Amino acid sequence: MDDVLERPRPQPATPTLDPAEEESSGSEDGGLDWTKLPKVGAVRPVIPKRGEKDFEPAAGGGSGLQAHVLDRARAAMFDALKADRAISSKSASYGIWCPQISRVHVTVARGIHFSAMGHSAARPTSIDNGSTKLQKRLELLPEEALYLIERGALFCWKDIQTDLTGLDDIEGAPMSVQQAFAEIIGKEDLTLEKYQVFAYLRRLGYVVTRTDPPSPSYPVPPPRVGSAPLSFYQRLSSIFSLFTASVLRFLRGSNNWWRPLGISRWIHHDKSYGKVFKSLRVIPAGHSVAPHSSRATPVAPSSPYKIFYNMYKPSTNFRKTIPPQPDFQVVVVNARTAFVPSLYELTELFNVLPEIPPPLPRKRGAPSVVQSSPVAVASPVHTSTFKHIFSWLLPSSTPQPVTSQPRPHPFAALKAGKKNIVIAAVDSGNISFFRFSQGAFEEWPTL
Amino acid sequence: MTQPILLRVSNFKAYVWDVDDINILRSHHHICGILTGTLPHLSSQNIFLGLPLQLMPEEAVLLVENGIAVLVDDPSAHHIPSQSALKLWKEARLNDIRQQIALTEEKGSIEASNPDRAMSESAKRKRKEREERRARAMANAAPGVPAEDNPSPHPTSENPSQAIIGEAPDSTIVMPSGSYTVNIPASSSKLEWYVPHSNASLTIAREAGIWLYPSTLQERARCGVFRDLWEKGYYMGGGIKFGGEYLVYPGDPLRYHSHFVASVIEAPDAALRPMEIVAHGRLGTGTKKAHLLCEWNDETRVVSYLSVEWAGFG
Amino acid sequence: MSLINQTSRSKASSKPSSRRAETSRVYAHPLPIIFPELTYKFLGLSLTRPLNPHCTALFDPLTRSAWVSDSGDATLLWQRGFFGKGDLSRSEPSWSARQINARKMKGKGLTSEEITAKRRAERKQFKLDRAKAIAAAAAEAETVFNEQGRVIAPGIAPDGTRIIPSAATWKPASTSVPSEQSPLDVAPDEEEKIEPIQDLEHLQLSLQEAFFLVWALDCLTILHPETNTSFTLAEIWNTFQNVYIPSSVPQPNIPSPPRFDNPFLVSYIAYHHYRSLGWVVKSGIKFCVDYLLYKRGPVFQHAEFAIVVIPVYEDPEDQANSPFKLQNAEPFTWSWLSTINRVNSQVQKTLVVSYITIPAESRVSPKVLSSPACFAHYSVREVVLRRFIPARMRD
Repeated sequence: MDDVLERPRPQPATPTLDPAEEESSGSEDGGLDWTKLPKVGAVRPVIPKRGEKDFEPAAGGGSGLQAHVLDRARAAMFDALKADRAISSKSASYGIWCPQISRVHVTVARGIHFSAMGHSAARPTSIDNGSTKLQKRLELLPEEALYLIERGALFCWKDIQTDLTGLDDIEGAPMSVQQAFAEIIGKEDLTLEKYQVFAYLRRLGYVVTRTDPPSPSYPVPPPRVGSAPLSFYQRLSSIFSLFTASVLRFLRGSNNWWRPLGISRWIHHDKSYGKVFKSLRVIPAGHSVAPHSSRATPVAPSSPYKIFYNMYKPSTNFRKTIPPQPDFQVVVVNARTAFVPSLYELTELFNVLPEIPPPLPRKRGAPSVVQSSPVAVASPVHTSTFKHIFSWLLPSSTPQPVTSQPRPHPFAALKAGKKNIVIAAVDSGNISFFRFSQGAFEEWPTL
Repeated sequence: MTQPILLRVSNFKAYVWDVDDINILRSHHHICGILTGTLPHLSSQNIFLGLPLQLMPEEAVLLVENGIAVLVDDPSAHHIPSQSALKLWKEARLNDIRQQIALTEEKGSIEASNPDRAMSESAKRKRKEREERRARAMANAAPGVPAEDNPSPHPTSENPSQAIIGEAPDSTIVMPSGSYTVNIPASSSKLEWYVPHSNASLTIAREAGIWLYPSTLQERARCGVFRDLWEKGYYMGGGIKFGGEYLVYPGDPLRYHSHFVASVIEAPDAALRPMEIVAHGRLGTGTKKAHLLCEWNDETRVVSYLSVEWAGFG
Repeated sequence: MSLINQTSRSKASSKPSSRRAETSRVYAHPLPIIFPELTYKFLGLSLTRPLNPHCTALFDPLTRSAWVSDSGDATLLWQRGFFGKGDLSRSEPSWSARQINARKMKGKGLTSEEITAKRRAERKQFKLDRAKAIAAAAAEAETVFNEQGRVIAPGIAPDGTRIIPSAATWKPASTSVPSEQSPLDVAPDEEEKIEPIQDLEHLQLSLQEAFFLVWALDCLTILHPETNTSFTLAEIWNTFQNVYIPSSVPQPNIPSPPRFDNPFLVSYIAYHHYRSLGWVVKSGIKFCVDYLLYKRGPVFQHAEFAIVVIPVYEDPEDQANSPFKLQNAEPFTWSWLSTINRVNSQVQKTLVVSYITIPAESRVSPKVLSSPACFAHYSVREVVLRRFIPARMRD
């Protein structure tokens, strides 16, 4: 049937009208029609659709009409770029950038942004009598501060040694967005690529926090329940995993490696395709065992593949002081300098990630239950996985008891994988997000 | 001879912050870069982005080599303002605020004296109530934001929630009490203490330790191919999402679709795998672009081109 | 779709359901081996013997494949497990069926080659028409701009319809296919006088498929290309690996020691792994991957998964001194990953990276390479890859 698909289509399968799709499918940069952009100050910004384009400029650099339309498009773009960052004095927040500690100390916090950004930190503060005392204050990480400055929500001063007496409310050198880009990026492990991913996700409404706390006072999710010790079923299923089974078989030496197919002439239940396939599963498979390496540390310490951000959907009930388990975890790399992660790098990433139950088929009519966090869900899956593997060992003629629990569709389970990591590869401002999932084909044979 | 454009460099990345410079680069030199900042008035989407313009390193290299632009070490260009400079800045700001408030009051009195156009007091009150309701609803809608979550910015204050909405204590002393607009400048050019120092060549910038590109064969190949296509009059954008290094446009990408996806091959003897031909042929057809294999010869510094298109046999 | 069965199908019934049933009947067996209906069963014991066919193929070192020339064997291997491909066909060996069809349809229909030629001509015409329409619309817009200073949307008629044809809306102007192509003077009985068509096609098995049929299923015999005598299993084991050894290796008379990273072994590990899990595994070259996985087979549905095999050396030393430049063993770039993912999502396939570890010679003695027992030292791990679209994951 793929013969039909063998001819590449001249057009994409579906017309892209959905702005989300357009945004994600790598719409060409600079190919946007800025003339469709609402003017600055328009009431409700509507994201415009892509405009019509010409094939190529007429000889000599474009006809009169082409030049006119291009000028108009450019003017619209430059107008939009000139938009001021103007906030009402009643809603502006203020902060002081302290380069020595890579934090912005928030002196005035206004608006809903602070429900998802900023944390409390105790810092020595000088009090009236000249002595210092540890006092709690609201601080922003570099990416949080830069994002708020960029949006025009935070006015930031730079902490300087200049004498500020007689300058009233001036708390340092006033910073432009340019200065913030120049000085705040590069601090506290924040690369431009990491900032670009942070801002991209924040603009879409995600809450984004650091996975590794940059300081002890930074709130992190509580340790995962049940992630450390393996559950009973997990242990059982790992005992019977294809990995162990084939190794055992090899060690026993019971296999005649020149004749792997073991169909007994006499035993009836051997005479099925399921049995034939099962007897051919001789190659260790699956992620239950880490891959061998001759090196003590197969992942170089300089590897860029470290989880950097925790990501929460806008719909997730996020509490800043007690953050829940993240919906996704994100690695950010520079696509120009990093290669696609090696198996060893992926194994290290998967080692610290939670296992997610396979997606259950959606019940018709009934709305799907909203899961607060994929990790928190008790997994009935291990049962089925176990059963699944166990069925290889038991006579296949015994029918499996029909459970009321809907079984996940094998394709859906295979596509979803068991553990997920989002990797954002950034190439000079172009962000590509990929999801790498730990596959488990060995758990879902088709026969 | 016009002044070279200043490319602001920090963390080995080159940015353009002035819209007029972006215009010159685009209109006169067909260099597009990529906008990477948040547009303040459209801050909840990722399709239209704002300042700064981030340049690909090969774009910056070409601009500097051709004398169109120079590199500036941006962090060190921001000096520490003196007390007198800050005083001047403060005065300018106060003047601006006073003007704003005067303007608002003037407008208000015109409106009051012109009852046809001005809103009635009750209408104003109603609007104010509406706005407050909306603000409350917004605050409530913010997921899980008990006021205690926010440590007080003023720890001395006994009532944290008051501190959050309260004015900075000092400001009430001298600042006018009316509402005015606070501006956060995008570019630093107008700040008195911003003194950029130009690095006229890549060598100087390299010695200053602010710019290293190109330093490998791969990077030289990219610069060479980029320059060759640029000299042929094309506009270039990043092509990673289309399976190459660049998208190659016949004119400004604002008005024209790209005709090619270009990939850079570092050496004339680099092997080309059948898989790559299949992939590029297929992808080009799906996106109505031909794939351009651009082969860099580091010795002769010459680029040779080969295009791949699906023939559609069978 | 099967061309062979289209003929029989069209006679039987054209209803989709019965066509499906027919397909299911023809392709009922996932493997060449057949388990006959039970005749007698007692206490879990039965006497019926599984029927394992014995097919024959000729080893061809140049193309690194094995050729099944007997059309019966070829049909059997294709219908029971979708092994091989016709060397004159895209997949199923259907050349002779196509010839017979063409002869029958003479004057009534077009051969697929003719259809292709017609389609290509139409496509060319479409592009010319479109270019003309675009140029005309641009010229009109230009005139309006120059004369009235107005900017109009080019290519849109006053009533809002589009004038510029798209691939979906364009229709050929008229049936311009010349009638001289359909000769009406062919007498109906002339067909019988024509010599019967000799089937020139053979089924081409990849070495992975051939080894699976020989070793795992024991239903194929491989013949030596020169002597026409049958290979022993041990000879096949060595021969299939040796054809991958680069000819530039010095001292061709001394057999080079077997290596864990022999390309045949690495790709066989992947092939065998997915076959043993019940998948129908076919080459993925047309979608720039190594393998495609079908749940039941290409005649039933599209391939669900596209497999990229990535060899992982346990010991970088082994890679450094290897005579093989294994594909994908070097780390690959984000741009390449993005390319293959884009190609495969265009055709609705999920990209799976299949990592095959290559045992370190310092850990496992190369002596185990003397037999398939070495398979137990390799391992397979998958990583499923998809684009992540933040704008769509917000709920």
